Amino acid sequence: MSTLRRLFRGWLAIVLLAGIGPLRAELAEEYELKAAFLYNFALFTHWPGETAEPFTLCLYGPHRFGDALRQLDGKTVHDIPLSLQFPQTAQEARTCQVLFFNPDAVPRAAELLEALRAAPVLTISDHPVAWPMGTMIVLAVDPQRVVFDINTRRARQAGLDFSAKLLRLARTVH
Amino acid sequence: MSRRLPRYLYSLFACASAAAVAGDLTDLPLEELSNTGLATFSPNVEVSTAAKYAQLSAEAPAAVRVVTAQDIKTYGYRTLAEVLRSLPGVYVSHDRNYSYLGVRGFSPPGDYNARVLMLVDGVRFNENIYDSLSLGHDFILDIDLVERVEFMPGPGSALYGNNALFGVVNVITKRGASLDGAELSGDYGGFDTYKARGSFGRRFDNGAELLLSATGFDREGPDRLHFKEFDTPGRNGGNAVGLDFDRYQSAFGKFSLGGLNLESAYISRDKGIPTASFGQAFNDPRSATLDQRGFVAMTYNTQWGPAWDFRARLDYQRYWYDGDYAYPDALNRDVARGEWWGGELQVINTSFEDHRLSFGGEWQDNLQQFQSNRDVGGAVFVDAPYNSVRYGFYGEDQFRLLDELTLIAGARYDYVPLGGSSANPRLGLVWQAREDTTLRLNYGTAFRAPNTFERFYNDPAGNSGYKPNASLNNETVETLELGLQHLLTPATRLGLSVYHYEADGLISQTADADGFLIYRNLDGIKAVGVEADGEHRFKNGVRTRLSYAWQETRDDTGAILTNSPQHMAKFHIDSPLWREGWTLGFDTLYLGSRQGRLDTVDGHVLSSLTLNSRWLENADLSAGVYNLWNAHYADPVGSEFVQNEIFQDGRSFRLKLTLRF
Repeated sequence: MSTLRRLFRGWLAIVLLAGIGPLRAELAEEYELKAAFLYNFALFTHWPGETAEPFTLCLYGPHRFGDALRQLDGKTVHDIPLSLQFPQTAQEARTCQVLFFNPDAVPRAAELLEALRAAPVLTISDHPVAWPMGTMIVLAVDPQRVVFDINTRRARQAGLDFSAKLLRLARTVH
Repeated sequence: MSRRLPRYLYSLFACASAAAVAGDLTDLPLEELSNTGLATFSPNVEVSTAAKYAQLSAEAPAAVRVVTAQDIKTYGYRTLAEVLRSLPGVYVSHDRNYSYLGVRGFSPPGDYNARVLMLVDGVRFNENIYDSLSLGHDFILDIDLVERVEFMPGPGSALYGNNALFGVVNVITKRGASLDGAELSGDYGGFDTYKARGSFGRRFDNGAELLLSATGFDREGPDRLHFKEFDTPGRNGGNAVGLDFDRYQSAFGKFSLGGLNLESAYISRDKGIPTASFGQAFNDPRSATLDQRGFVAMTYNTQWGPAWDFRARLDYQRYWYDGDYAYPDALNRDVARGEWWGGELQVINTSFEDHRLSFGGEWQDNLQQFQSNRDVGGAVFVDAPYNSVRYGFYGEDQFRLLDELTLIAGARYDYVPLGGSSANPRLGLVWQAREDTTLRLNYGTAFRAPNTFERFYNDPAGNSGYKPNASLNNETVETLELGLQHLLTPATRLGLSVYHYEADGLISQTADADGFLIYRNLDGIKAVGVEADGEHRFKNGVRTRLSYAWQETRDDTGAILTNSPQHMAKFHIDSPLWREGWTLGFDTLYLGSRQGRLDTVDGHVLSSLTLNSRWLENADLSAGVYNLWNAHYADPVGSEFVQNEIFQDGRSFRLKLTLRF
């Protein structure tokens, strides 16, 4: 019986706790957060030469961003209007400044990355399998927040530079 | 009373919905994005223990549990034992020297955690004499240096080989960048407990990371512990005075650059034995154990072309153990010296569409597996030098049959000299039935070879108390498990797992008719169990978790095993407070009654409350109360004790100050 009484006391403490607690929280949906990261990655990356207009942020293949992409409407990157594109083929994907892809959902993702090796395309994914393929930035859920790893060697080959701030906030820098 | 509850609940939900979620996230500075918590449960959590490489939780063959550094801080966990016992279906017993993990209803007293495999940053960590893993203050890492703990319940031998019978624990350490500067931390707690830690961590411009840390810990323990079993004249009224001390010094260093990772760790831990175990003289201050572990590991990860991921590891480890056991006529010294090095090569291939193949080989050269037992200046009872080499090969394919259906097929062959060879398959189906529902069906076997202690800690005449058994064999377990993960709402997760396993030839200590102890492949056991858990994240940042586990683990005679609770329930809630760095965490763990060696050990409820506060930008103060209701509870112990159960600590507190520079 005392066990039950203790459990009930615990419960009461909790309910009170949940009632008074909650005053500071920065929370977001996973893909809203990931979309905001995508945009920030573009802001904190430097492309070689003149950036083409508009600035193309591409999502290649099926993705789960849904309504979260609305945040990117009307945004600019380095003063150039941002344009969201949804390439259907690997050929189209090569013309993007930022390319987000799911390696499990597009055919021959590894070959695409190989082909893009020297092209100034910032490659991003949120699947760990994309990392060994040579993707420049890979997002991960950790599981309470979103973190990212950066492959600077691959970026350098493509002529891309990341700001110190981006490198500082990365989980790992390779 | 019950009629009033809904009103509390109402205010709870009203409050929860009042808090606003951030508007346009793209306007937030990058730092804040990195600090923004997820309002919903993600099927995309990165886990690396189920397949030996990083993958998404929804794709993993097993439902891997993750505890993060943030959880450790929020709930004020002081040891790995406290981290693990927060998980559904996991319990920990303590005999006032070591901590023992119970998984799936299995934790027979007298067993040294040889049936769960522990990895530190992916490197096998069980030592090579008892195959034990350490969970308490004898664990090699200060818990503050742990980035996350992954736990995969169920058989793991198809990937990990020996010892991965009931689960795999993978402790992942922090990196230099996680500290980003120097840290000094000091804490003071009940039972005269002091801990001090100094750490430094940094990431350099080239991406290289360095972390260095050292910790000193000293717990004097209760002034006196009363054992009614020894409350007879001439035994100090059954009071053991000042014998529950626990002290350790530990150090950790880690360097990483690109795919290369080097790390080293060391611990030396002294523990007094207040329980007069192994028939010792009661309240004798000479009774104590010393455990030391040393660990150096190098891991390397590189890619060959776009489809080949290659991993290599090399490690060297040592284990020292000195036990002083006090008897009226002699001081008995028990010694174990383990030294080994090992390596592993693994390739992961993604050339074939819809297939993820991984192959590997692992070996371990046990340079030393020495045991001795003697009276100081007197008779030698055990003198058993030994060395051995063991190895294993494994392969696994994760084959996407359909977009939403993945087949996992893998197997591993192992050779361990003391048990011979063993082959263990794993077959699994992961079905993403709906966007919000994942089903898993897993079949697998696992094994454990007799360890050096079970095989060689004896003498033919039985003077050590133990007699040899040259025909000791591998023990095996065969498991079938069905798992369900469902998102009731994006912020409400439900999990259910139903398992059945049969263990065969479990290596058990038995007493022969002549009174000598001998290890035999004895019991078969059959177990069924259910683990259910639910989690909710409120919009205001409050997170709650509730879990319940039911298990029935029976031996050949149909009796429930000792130290096997049938019921376990756990409740966790934490909340951010008004300012950044302020959190409140509360947990309640219920463990049902367990069968002890002689008598039933009562169930108990333990709660703890932890407040984290940040008074200054670079100073965190944490205050915690443990065993909040001051429950008088005990854990069952084995036949090396006179006692049926060993009582545990009552209410205590901890204050911890951490400064960052």
